[in-house]
Amino acid sequence: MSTEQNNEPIIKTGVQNVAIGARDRPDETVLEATNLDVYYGDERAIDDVSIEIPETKVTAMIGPSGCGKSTFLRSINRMNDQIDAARIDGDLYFQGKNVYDEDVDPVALRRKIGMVFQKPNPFPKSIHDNVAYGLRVQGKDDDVNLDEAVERALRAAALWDEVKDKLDSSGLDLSGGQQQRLCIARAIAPDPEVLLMDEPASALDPIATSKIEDLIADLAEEYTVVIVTHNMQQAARISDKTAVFLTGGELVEFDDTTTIFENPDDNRVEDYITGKFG
Amino acid sequence: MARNDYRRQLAELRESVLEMSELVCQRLRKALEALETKDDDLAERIIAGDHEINRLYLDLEGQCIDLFALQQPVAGDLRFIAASFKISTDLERIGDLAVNLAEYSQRAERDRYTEIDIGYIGTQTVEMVEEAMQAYADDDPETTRDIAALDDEIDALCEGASEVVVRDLLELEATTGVTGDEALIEDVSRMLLTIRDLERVGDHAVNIAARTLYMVENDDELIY
Amino acid sequence: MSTDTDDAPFAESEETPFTDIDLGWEHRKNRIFLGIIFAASMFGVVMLALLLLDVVTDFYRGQTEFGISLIDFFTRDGSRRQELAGFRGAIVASVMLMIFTAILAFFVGVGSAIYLEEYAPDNRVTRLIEANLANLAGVPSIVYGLLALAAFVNGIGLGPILLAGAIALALLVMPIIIVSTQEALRAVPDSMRNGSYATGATKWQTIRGVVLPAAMPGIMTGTILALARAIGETAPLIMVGALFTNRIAWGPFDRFSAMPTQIYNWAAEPEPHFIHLAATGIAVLLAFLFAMNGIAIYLRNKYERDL
Repeated sequence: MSTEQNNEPIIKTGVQNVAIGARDRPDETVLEATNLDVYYGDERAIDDVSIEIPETKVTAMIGPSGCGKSTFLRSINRMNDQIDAARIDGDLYFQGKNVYDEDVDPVALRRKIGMVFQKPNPFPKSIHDNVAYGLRVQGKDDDVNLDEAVERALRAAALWDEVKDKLDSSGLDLSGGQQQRLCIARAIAPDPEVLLMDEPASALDPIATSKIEDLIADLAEEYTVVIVTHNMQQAARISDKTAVFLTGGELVEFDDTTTIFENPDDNRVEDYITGKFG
Repeated sequence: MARNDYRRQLAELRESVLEMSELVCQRLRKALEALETKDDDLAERIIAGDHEINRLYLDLEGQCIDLFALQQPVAGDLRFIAASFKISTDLERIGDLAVNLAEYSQRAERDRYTEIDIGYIGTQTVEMVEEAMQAYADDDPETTRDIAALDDEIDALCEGASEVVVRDLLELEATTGVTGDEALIEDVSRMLLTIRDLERVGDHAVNIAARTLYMVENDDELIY
Repeated sequence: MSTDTDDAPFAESEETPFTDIDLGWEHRKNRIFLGIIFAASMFGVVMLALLLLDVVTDFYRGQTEFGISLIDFFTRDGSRRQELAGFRGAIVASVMLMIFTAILAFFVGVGSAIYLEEYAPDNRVTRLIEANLANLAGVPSIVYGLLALAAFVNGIGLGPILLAGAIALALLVMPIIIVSTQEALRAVPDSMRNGSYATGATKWQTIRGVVLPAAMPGIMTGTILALARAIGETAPLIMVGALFTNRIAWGPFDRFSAMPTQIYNWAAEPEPHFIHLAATGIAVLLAFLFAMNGIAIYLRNKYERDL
C-alpha cells in the first residue's frame, strides 16, 4: 500500500453503491424537518429534530423504545392529529411546503404520503377491495382500470402470485406476512410519493420479514421509504440512510447507513449500536 | 428468493475477488517475463500498476466490511466473506511480490546462474495461485489439498536453487578469493530474494487454498 | 404408549424430588370451589329447563286434552269464544311491531352510537349523555308505556294504534341498541381506522367504508337481541292499550294486540281452555325468541373470527 498516494479513506464503502444501481443520482430532499418538537401533553416526545430525507431512498429511524422515532414518523403524515393531546412546534416540509400550514388538509397530505403500520391491519374486505380502497376513497377509481391498478399494486408488493386466484376472499384469511404485504399494496395502490413504515416486520416471522425487506429494497426504486425499526440489523440491511434517535426524542446522528454502522460520529450512537447502551 | 440484495452482494464479492486474482496473476506472469527478458519498460509498468491492485484490494476490503457490518452474515456466508477477506490480503501480497520481482529484473546485469530455471519455478507458483483461485471459484475442496502438496515441491525447488547460489559463492571464493565485487553481491542477493519471493508466492497460494477449504468444508486442516 | 415401570430407573426409590411438597389440601380447595361455581352455573340451566318443561307440558295438554288445533291456532284471530280463538292476529301484529320498532330504533340508535363513539369530543356533555343512556336502559319498561300513552296515544291523539306500540318499544330498546352499537364500534380496532386515514380517507369515508362494515355483525346481533327483548314485552303494550285481542291489525294505524298481550288476556280468563291457549301462545312466542336469539348467535359466530 506504499504506492497509495491519494487521500481517500482507508476503508471505502463499495457495496452500497454497486448493489443499488438506481440510487446513484444526487440526493433530492423530499421531506425536511427543521427544529421540530412534538409534545404529548406536557411531555416532549420529539426534541428539536432537524433532518433532510432524500428522495427514492430508504431512510431508517432507529433507537431504543420511547425514543420518539415512531412519533416522528407519525408527525410526517400528521397521524398525530388523531391524538388530541399531541402538539407540534417547528416546521416540517414536504416538497417545500410546510405540512403544518393552516391551508394543508391532512387528508390531502396522506394521499401523497402512504403509511404501513406495525401490526398488519387489513380491512375485513376482500383482497381486491382492500387494495382498491385507497383508489376508491381518493376518487381515482374512475380514472384508472381498477382491476389493473389492483394487480399492479399487488405485483409491486410481491403478493400477486400468491393471491391472484383468490382476490375475492377476505384479506383476513391471509397469513401475517401476506397481510402485511397486502397493507403495503393498499398503501402504494394510489401511488403516493412517500411510504412511511412503522416497524412493518416486527410482528412477522423471519421468512416473512426477509420478504418484506426485499420488498422495501424494490419499493425504494420508485418511492421514498421512511422506515422505523427497533431492529438495527434490519436498518443496516435495508437502508441507505440511518437516523439514530435516543431517549428524549433527540436525533443524535443522521448519515449514510454504512457510516452509522461502521464509523459513527457520536459516542452515544457507537454505544447504542454496539449494545453498550439501550 | 430471500434477501435478494444480499445475495447479489455476495455474488459481486466473489466476482471482485476473482477479478483481482486475474489481475494479480497476470502481473506475476509479466514480472516473470520481465525477469526473463530484462525488459525494463515492462518492469516499470508493473511497478507503476501496483496501485491498481491496491485499489482493488481496498475496495474488496470495503465490500467485506460493509457485508459484516450491514448484513450480519452467518454460517456458510460468514465463512465465505471471512475467507474472501483473507484471500484478498494474500492476493495483495502476491501483487507486492510481483512488484519486487519486477524491481529485481531492473537491477539485473548478468546471467550468473544459468542452471537455475527461475522461469519454471515462477510458472509453477503462478499456476498454484491460479488453481487455488479456481478452487475458490468452484467451491472445490479436492484441489485445495493438491495445492498444499504442490507447495512442498516448490519449497524443494527453491531450497535447491538457494543451495546452487551459496555453493557457487563458496566455490568462487575458494578459486578466486573474490568476494567484494559489488556486481557479484548484487547478483547474489537479487537471486536469493527472487527465490525467496517465489517461494512466498507459493505460500500465499497455499493460504488461499487453506481459506477456500475452510470456506467450503469448514475444515481448518490447511490453516496454520 | 407403554408404561414399562420395570425399566424406570427411579421406580424403586421411595424418595422423589417432590416428597417435601404436600398439595393435598390445595387441590381439595380447588375441587370444592369448582363444585360451587358449577352448581351456580347449573342453576340457571335447570330453571330454564323446568320452565321449558312446564310450557311443553301445558302445550301438550292443550293439544290432547283440550283439542286445540294448531291449524286453527295459526289461522284464526282472537275470539271471545274459546273454540274459535286463534293466534294469527297477535302474530301478525307482533311481526309488524317488530318491523316498525326496528326501523324506528335502528337508525336513531345506530346514528347516536356513531356520534357518541366516533365524533363526540370526550367532554362532560358526552359523558352525561352516556350516563343517561345507561340509566335509560335500566328504566322499567312500563314507564315507556306510560310515556307513549301520555305523549302519543293521548298527547297527539294517535289512539291505541300499532304505531304507538312500536314507538313505545322503540324507546324501550333504543338504549340497548345504542350501547350494543357502541360496543361493536369500540371493538373495531383503531389500527383499522388508522389504516383508512393513512390511505387518505376522510372521517366519514372511514366510518362508512371500514368501521361500519366491520361493526355491522355486532350491531345486527345487538339489534336482534334488543328486538327479541321487545317482542316479549307486555307492560308497555298494555299501557298503550294493545288489548284489541279479537281482531287483526292490517297496518300501523290499526288497533292491535300483540302476542304477549294476547297471552296475558287469555291467561286472565277463568276457563282452562283459554289457559291452555295461553300456553300454546307462550310456546309460539318462545319459538320466536329462540329463532331470533339463534340468528344473533349465528351472526356473531360467523363474523367474530374477522375482528
